[in-house]
Amino acid sequence: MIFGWNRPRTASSIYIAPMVRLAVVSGTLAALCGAAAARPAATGWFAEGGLGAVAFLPKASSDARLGPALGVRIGRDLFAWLSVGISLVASSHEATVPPPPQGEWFQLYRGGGDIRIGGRLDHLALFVEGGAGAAMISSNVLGKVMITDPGERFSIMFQAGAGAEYQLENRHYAIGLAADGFLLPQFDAIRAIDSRLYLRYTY
Amino acid sequence: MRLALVSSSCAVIVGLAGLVGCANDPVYIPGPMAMEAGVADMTGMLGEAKASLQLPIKTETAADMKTHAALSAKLAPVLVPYVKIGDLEIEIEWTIKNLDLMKPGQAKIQLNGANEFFSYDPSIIILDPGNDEAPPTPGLAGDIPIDVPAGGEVSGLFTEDDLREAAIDLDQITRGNVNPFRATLTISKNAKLFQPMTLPIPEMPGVPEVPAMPVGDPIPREAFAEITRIDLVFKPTTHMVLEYNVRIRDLRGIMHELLLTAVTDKPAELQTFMPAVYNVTTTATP
Repeated sequence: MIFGWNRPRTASSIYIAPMVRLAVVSGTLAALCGAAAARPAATGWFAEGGLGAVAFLPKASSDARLGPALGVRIGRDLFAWLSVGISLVASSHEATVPPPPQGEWFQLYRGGGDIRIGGRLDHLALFVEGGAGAAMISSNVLGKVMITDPGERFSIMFQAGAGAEYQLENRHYAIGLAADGFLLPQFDAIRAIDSRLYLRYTY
Repeated sequence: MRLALVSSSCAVIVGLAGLVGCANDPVYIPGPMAMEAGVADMTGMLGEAKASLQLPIKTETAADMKTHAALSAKLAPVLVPYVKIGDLEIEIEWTIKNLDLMKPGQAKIQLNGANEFFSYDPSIIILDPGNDEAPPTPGLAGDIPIDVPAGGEVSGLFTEDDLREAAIDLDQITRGNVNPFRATLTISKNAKLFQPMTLPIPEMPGVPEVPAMPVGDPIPREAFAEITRIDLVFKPTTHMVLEYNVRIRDLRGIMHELLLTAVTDKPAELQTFMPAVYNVTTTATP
C-alpha cells in the first residue's frame, strides 16, 4: 500500500481535488466576509458625546496647561454628506501664569453651531467641519498675563477641524476621532486644539 | 431606547449648563505693587514694606438694603454690616524672592486688615504701656519665619480658613474689646457669637483694678463683619521682594466685575468704607 506523496494520482483525482479546495476556501471566505460586506449607517437626528483634551497653542501654551475636555453635540444629517449641529464643550486647565497664583485651575466653556461635510467609504467616514459660537472663561486668572481684560468673561469663537468615524455593526452607532482648532479673538486671540474621541448615536 | 438616549443627551446638556450657571468661580486680584524690603537704612535698621488692598465691593443694591434692614431690625441693637462673614471667601497667595544671591534669609508676612467698622494695625496698639519688655501686639495672622534660600523663591498662602479666622478675630478685638492675644490665640472660625466686653480699668493708687465686664447684647454670627481691606506687612532679613495675589470666591455676588479697574473706571459703583482706626491703651483681660 502506498500513502502520501508517493501515491499515484488518477486523472479524476487531479481535477477534483483543486475544485474541492476552491469550494472550501470560497465558502470560508464567504462565511467570514458576508456580514461585513454591507455596513449601513443611519442618517437623521444624531447625538454625540466625547472625551478628549484641549491644548493651547503658543502664545497661551505657557500660561495654561493641556486639560481634559468633555463635550456633547447634537445635530441633523441634511444629506448623507452634509450635517449641521450644535455643540457644548467644557475643558479644565491649570493656569501656569507666573506665581502667584500657583496651582489654580480655570474652566473654558464653548458652545456653537457647525457644519460638517464628509463622505463614507464602507464603514469608515471622513469629514471636515467648521463653525462659530461663543466661549466663556470661568475666572480672570489669565488676566495676569493680559489674556483677559478686566471684567471680560466671554469671547466669540471660530473653529475648524477634521475627523474620522467608524460605523459599528449596529447602524445607529459610530465611534469617531476628531480634532478641531479654535480661535478666541477677545481672549487675546488665543488658539487651541481640541481633540476628542466620541460616540455617535443616530436616531 | 431612543427616548432614553434623547433624555440622557438632554440631561448631559442641562448638566453642563448647570455647571456653567452654578459655578462658584474665584476671581483673582493681583497685588498692585510688589513689596520690596530688607535693605538697611542709615541707622542700620532693616526696612519693612507695607501694602494695603481695599476690596472692590459694589454699592448696596435696593434688594440688599431691604435684606440688610430686615436683619438689622431682627438683631437690633447689634450693628449688622453690609459685608458679613460668609459673603466672601478670601485667600491670599504670595511668593517671596530673595534678591540676595549670596545670603539666605528669613522673612515674615503679617496679615492685618479692616472691616467696614474698624481697621486694625498692631503697630499702633500698645497693650502694656508701662512694660518695655512686653511682647508686641500680634497681627491677625502670619508672622511666622520663612526660610528663603539665596537667590531662591518660596510660595505660600493664607488660606480661606486663615482669613475667616482673621476676620472674626478682628471683629472680636474691635467691637468686642477682646484682648488681641486672646482673640488670635483661640480658634473662633466656627464661633456662633461673641460677647462684647468693657475695657478693664487698670489698678490705680487706692483703687483696685476693675476687670472687663460683659456689655450689651452678644453679637451673633449673622452680624460678624468680613474683612474688606487687606493689610500686609513684609519683614525680611535680607533684600527680598514679595508679590501677592488675592483670590476671592464671591458667594453673594458683591464684588465689582471690573475689580481694581473699577477704582479708576467706575468709582461711583464702589462702596466706600470709612473704618475707624482701632486703638486702645488697655483691653479686656485675656
